Amino acid sequence: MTLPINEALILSCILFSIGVLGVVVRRNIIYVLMCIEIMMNAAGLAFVAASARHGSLDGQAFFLFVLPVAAAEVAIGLAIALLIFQRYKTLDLWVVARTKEA
Amino acid sequence: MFYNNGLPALWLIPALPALGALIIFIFASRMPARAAGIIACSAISLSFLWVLNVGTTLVLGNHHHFVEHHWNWIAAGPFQGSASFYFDLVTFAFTFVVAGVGLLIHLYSYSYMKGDAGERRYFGYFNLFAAAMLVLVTAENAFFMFLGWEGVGACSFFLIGHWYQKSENTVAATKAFLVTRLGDIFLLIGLFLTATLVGVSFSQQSAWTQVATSSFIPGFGGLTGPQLILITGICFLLGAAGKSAQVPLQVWLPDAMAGPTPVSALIHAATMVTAGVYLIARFHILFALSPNLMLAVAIVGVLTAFYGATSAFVQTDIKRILAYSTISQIGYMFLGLGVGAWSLAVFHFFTHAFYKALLFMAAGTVIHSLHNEQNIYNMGGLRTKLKGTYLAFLAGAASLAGIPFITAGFYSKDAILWNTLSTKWGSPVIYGIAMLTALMTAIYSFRLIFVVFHGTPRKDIHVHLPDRLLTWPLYILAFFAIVAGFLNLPIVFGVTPIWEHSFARVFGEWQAEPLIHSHAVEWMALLGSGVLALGGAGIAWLLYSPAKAPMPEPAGDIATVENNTPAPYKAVWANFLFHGWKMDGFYNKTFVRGFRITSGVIAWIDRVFVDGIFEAIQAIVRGFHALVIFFQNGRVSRYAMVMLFGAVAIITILLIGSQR
Repeated sequence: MTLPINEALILSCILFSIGVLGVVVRRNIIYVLMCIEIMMNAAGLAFVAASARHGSLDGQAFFLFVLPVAAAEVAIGLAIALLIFQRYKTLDLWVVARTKEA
Repeated sequence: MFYNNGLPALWLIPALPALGALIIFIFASRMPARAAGIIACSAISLSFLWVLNVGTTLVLGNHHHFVEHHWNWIAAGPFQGSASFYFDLVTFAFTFVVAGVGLLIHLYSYSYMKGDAGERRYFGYFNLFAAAMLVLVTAENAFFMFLGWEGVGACSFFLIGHWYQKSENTVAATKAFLVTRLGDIFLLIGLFLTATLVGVSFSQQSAWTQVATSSFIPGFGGLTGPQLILITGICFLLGAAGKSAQVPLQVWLPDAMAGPTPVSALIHAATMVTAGVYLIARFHILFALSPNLMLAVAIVGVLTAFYGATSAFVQTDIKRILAYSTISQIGYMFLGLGVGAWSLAVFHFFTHAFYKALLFMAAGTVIHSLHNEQNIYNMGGLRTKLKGTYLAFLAGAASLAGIPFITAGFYSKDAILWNTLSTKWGSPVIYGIAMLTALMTAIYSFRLIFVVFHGTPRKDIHVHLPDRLLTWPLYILAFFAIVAGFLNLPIVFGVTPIWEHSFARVFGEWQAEPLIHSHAVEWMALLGSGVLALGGAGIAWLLYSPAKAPMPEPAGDIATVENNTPAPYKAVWANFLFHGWKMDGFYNKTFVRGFRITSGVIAWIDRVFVDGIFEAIQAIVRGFHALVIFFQNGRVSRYAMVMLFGAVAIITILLIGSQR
């Protein structure tokens, strides 16, 4: 079965838009990290779909590199979230942005 | 150091009082109050001895002048002002008065200011004033002279406002300073014109004759030489009028009486106010080259003389009478300058310094003895109680009135009157007004004598007897107020007028020669002014003698700075004269109010237009600022959104580009 390229790209766009919207409007850092993950996976889906369409493995190889980057990003992001919570007792990014360095 | 090539150094003359002032100001807080007076008196007396030394060397050695160059002070293109000193006979006359009469007034102040809270400050400024005045009269060029000119103005300001705790004193000081500053602006313009046309050194002034004959001078927009001379001269005349309290800038002097009485004697009678006379005498070549200029000087002089005499006639405050009389007498000096009798104007300055300083100090003694009473209608009958002061005051008043043959004032004033009648710049009309003024001068002088010293005391005031330092300077000045006149006896006496003869060396061919040579006419003029003086004294006796009922005591108090003080007389004309022809009110209504309206309009323009421009710029910047902070608010989501829109925009542009 061949991957329907148009549907795959549309799904990728929808996922990416959801991710962007989440990053822009959500104030909770956990949600923001999750949305970034969604955006990465949307990009990964586009890579894989394009790879299948062109009969090349470059896109899939690329996605293999994206996966550890995403994992590392989540690890650091969650560590930052943890530190922010320890320091400010909140996960609200707007509150953190407004707070001056103590 | 003290002698150059066997000639005495000139710089010591101003340096000694300057040193005194320096010591007093530096150590003021660490010295007893009385020590300041001793330092000031020693400094000025050393300076006076040095003046005598230099002066006798000049006169006995038959020199024309001494010049002493020290260093270049201002050197910029045509503006070459060096710190140099110049000493000729005119300088000798002025330094003799500044240091000599100044010394007597310093001694007098030592007693007069005893116990005053600001004694050290007073003597510091007194010495500083003497230093500045000596710089003014010994400077070799007009720029250096200007240094002294401003210095005396500043010291005058400080000393008028000596009792600064009373606000009207500071107002009077500010008024004096501002009005003289107004004249100084014109003086500066005149100095700049002089610097570019002929140079500021006094030895370069004969170059004005070349300016007078040239019809084109480059750089002056097509103005001819004579026109430039007229402009420069008018500027100098206004500058001199400001400093010497001449019409139209005379309004500050009566209010300057707010200062201590010795200040009035030194600054506002004997020395500083005659700086204008000195200025015009120094630039006599410039003035003599333009008949219109000479006429302007003479008219200013005679108008001021008349103005001062009429106002002095009705004053009730003893110091204001003397202040108006000073204005009037300096008017005579200007009249002398205006008719080309330069040496006689200086001579009148010389005699006037003695008798006016004497009158002020005697008035000070009276005020002091009566515990600061200044209204003459509260005095009376002091002849017996203050006998010495009375005799000294009588000598001064007689000299002021010009009582014939025995007083200095008679010889100096009559010589000016005679030149007004007889020289080419004189005129019979001006002579007539000057004679009328002489009559009024005699009347108000003897009004003072009769009201203050004769009759019976109008108020029961305990008289506190003056000590020796308050009376001996008066006797010395009284001596000079009588004998100084013999330096210049009229030629009709069959003797050589020593003063005029010696000063001919300085003023040379510019000195006006009498066109009338008839001795009979000169005798008539001489006797005429003598009769006027005696007649004035007689009229004063008729009007104010104690045999008559004493003058009704004027209602209200003395006039102060503003014109809103109660009018002391019933007659309108008397109040008009009392307020100095209501000149203060006139200036308030025209210049002060005009200035306020103009500045209000300018403030409005500034607020609406100038501020408007800057507020618009500010609004634009604020707009950009709001735009920038929209992106830079520290929220990650906002940055992400901006990145998103940026990425979308870039991709859109790339896509559109690839379509083509």
